[in-house]
Amino acid sequence: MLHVLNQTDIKSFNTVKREFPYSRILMQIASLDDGEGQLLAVSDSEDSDDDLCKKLHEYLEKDILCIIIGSYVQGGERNAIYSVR
Amino acid sequence: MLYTVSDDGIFTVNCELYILEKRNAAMQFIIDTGASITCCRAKELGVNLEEEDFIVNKASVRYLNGVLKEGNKEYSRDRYSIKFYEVKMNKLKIGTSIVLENVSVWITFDKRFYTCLMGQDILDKLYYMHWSNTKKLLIADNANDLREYVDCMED
Repeated sequence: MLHVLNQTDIKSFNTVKREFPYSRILMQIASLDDGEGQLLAVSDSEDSDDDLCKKLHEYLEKDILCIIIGSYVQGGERNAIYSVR
Repeated sequence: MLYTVSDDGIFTVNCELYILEKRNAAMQFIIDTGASITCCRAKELGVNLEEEDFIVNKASVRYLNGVLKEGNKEYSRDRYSIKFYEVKMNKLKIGTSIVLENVSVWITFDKRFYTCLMGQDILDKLYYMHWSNTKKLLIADNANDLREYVDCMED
């Protein structure tokens, strides 16, 4: 499910990843060098990952810089772990 | 030059991707020295990308073996291969200070793969220095920047 949170406080990526493990997380950032930002939305299943990507591009189209963080397995055994070798 | 701090041993960099002059996407890549290519999910690069277009246009394809576990069965490389298509970038911006031109990012429509990896095809073009005591990884697109940084540290 996609959870749109639109939080306004600044949190580090590591804090947010601990708060939402096994999730892909959309964060608004001020600069590409940042390791912190505002939490916009969370996808906690592979079914909603595409919706999270849509949100990402909606914001980018509005010239709001944001990225998706989080890289954990969320589909259990059906998913490929980040290991392309 | 930029630096990134390890999160439980994982280093990441924030990037902007330009296929033409327009910024097409922004994404966070995991620095994966074991990955041969830089790759991500198609939808993260562009929500309107369709696999059929890549097939029709005969885009370069690579089949890569992700690690996928199915219960207690043995791994099967063929069954778990993931298909990636090449997308040539006009520009890839890493942080605010590094800009690479004419590099490729490989995308997949396979939903089992959903992360973004920066592999050796791009890492080969960069220079690194790791400070174990601070968990910092310094990244530069030329060696002089790193030398100057070390000189400053020694002074």
